[in-house]
Amino acid sequence: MPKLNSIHAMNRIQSLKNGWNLFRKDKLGLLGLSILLFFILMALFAPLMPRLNSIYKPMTGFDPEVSGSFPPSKTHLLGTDYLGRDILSQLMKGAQIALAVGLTAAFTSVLIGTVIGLISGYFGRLTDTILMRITDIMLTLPGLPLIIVIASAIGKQSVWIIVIIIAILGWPSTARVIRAQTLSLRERPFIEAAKVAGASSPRIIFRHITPNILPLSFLYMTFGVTGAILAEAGLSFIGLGDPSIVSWGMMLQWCFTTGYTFRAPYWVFPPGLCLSLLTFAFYLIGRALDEIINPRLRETK
Amino acid sequence: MNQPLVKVHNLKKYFPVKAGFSFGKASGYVRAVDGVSFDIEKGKILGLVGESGAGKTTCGKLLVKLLEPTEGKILINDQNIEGIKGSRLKEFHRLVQMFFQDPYESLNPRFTVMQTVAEPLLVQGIGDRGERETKVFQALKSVELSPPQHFIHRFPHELSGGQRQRVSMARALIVRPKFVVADEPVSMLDASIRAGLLNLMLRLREEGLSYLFITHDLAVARYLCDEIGVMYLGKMVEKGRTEEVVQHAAHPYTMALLSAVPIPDPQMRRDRVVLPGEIPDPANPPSGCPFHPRCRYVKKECLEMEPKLKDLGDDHLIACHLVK
Repeated sequence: MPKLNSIHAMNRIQSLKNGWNLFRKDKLGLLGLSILLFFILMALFAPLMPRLNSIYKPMTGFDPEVSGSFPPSKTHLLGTDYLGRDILSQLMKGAQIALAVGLTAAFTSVLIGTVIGLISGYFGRLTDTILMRITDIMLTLPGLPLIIVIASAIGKQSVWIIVIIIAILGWPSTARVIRAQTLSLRERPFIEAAKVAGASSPRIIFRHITPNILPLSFLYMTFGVTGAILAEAGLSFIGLGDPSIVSWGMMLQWCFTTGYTFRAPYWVFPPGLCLSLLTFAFYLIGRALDEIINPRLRETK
Repeated sequence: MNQPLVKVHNLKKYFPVKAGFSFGKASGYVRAVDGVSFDIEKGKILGLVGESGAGKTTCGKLLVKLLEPTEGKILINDQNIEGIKGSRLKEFHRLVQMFFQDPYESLNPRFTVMQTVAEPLLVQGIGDRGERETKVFQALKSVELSPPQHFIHRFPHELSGGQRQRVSMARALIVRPKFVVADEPVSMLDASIRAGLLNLMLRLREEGLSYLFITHDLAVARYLCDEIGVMYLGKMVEKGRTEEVVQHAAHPYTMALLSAVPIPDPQMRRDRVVLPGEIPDPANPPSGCPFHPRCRYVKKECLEMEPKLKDLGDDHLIACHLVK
C-alpha cells in the first residue's frame, strides 16, 4: 500500500512543519540553532585544516618557525600553544569532540532512561519499586566525584569510557520523568481500548505509549547534551581526560598547567567561550522545544 | 427460555487503600463492587444505572477483564473467564468488547482511523493486509461512517465527537463480538447525536449482539434496555424488566432516580425526591442498608441489618426492608 504510507509520511512531514513553525517564532530558539549550526560547520571543516598545511595538525602540528606560545599572527590566526601548535585548528577539532561526546552521551543516557521509565511506569508494582529504588540511588550519587573516581580507577583514559560513565550517571532524571508520563498515559482510555482489542504489553508500550513520550525524551536529550559536554570538559581540565584527543577542556588544561592562564588570553578565551556558547545553544534549543511540547509554557499573545 | 450468554455470580472487587507508611499493607478496602449477580441473554440489553461511584464502570471493566475480580464468578458463553491468559485471553477479546465513554480519550491521537480500527484484527492475526482493509471499510459502513475512504486517513483531532465515538465503536465491532460492555457511550455527546448512536446500538442488537449498558441516565436506559439493574454503593438494589422497574419502582433510591428524569410535558407536575447528601465513602460504608443515611423512609432495622435481594415476582428483585 504505497498510497497509505505516503499519506502517513505526509502527515508526519506536516506535523514536523507545524513544530518548525512554532519553533521559528521563538527568537532565542533560533539564536541557539544558529550557534549550534556554527559549531557544526566548525566540526565539519576541522579535517580540512591539516590538509592545508601539516603545521595545522591539532595534536602533532609543530610549527618549526615558532617555539612556545605566541599571540595571533598571519599564519596562526588565533596564536599557538606552548608547543607551537595552532590554536584555531585545535579549537575546530575540539568542536568535533564536544559534539560527538555530548550527543552520544546524551543519546545513550536518554535511551536507558526512557526504557527504564517505560518499563517501570507501565508494569508498576514490584518492577516499579525495584527500578525506582535503583534510580533513586543513582540520583543521589554525587556525579563529578564519582566520575573522577571511576575515571582514575579505570586508568586507561579513553574518551569513550568517559562517554559511557556520563551516560550511566545521566539516565535517572530522564527515567523519572518518563515514568511519570507513562503512569499518566497508562490510565488513558485509549490504552484500555488497546488492551480490550487484545494487544500485548510490548505492543502497547512500543506502539501506543512510546510515540506519545518520544518528544519528551528528545527534550531531555537536548538538556543532557549540555551536561555531558560540561562533564567531559571538567574531567579533561582536571587531567582525567583522554590525552590522545584535543578537546576544549584539554586545551584549557594545557594552558593552565603550563602557567599561561593569565599571560595568554588568546589561548584561554577561545575554548572557554566555545564551551559556554555551545552549552548555551543547547539550552536555548531545549527551552524552545519545551514550549512546543508543553503548550502551557507558551506565552499568550 | 434461552441459556444466558453472560452469567455473573456474586461479583466483588475491593481496591486496597494504602495510607502513609503501610509498606504494601492495605489499611482498608474500597468496596467498588460488592456482591453483584445478573444474567444477560443473547440479544438482550441489561442497563446498569446509578450515580457516580456506584461501581457501574468497575463492574463493566471486570467483565472485559481490564480488572480482575476479588471474588465471584463470571461465565461468558459457558466459559469461566477467571485467570485466562495469552491466546485464550485474545480469543476472549474476540467475543467480548467494550464501548468507551470518552470519545476524545479513547482513540490514540497518533493513530489514523485506519490504524485504530484495524488494530484488533492486527493483534488477533486476522486476515492479511487487503482483507483487513476490506473489513475496516465494512466496519466503518456498519457504524454509518460513509463513505469510509473519507475517514480512513484522518486523525482523531480531525473528527467530531460523534464521529470519534463511531470510530471507537467500529474498532470494537470489527472482531464481531457477541457481547459488548457499553460504558456510558453517549453521555458525552450532544442530544442530537445521541439518538443516532442509540439506534445504531439497537440495530446491532437485532443482529444478535448483547450489551451491558452502563449509564446514569434512566431515560436512556428505558429507551434502550430490556432489563434495568439499579446499583448503589457497589450493590444491586433493584433489578427487573425495564417497564416493571420504571412503572412500579419499589426501592426509594430508584424512585429518587426516576423523579430526576425530565418529563416532556410542561403542564405535568410531580414530586421531586431530592436526595440529601452524597454517596457515602465506599471505603467506609454505612451499617445496615447502604442507602439508609439518605433514605426518607428510614426505619430502625435499616440501620442494623443489611437487606437481602428478594423477588417481588416476575423477576423483579429488590433489596429494601420496607418492601414485604
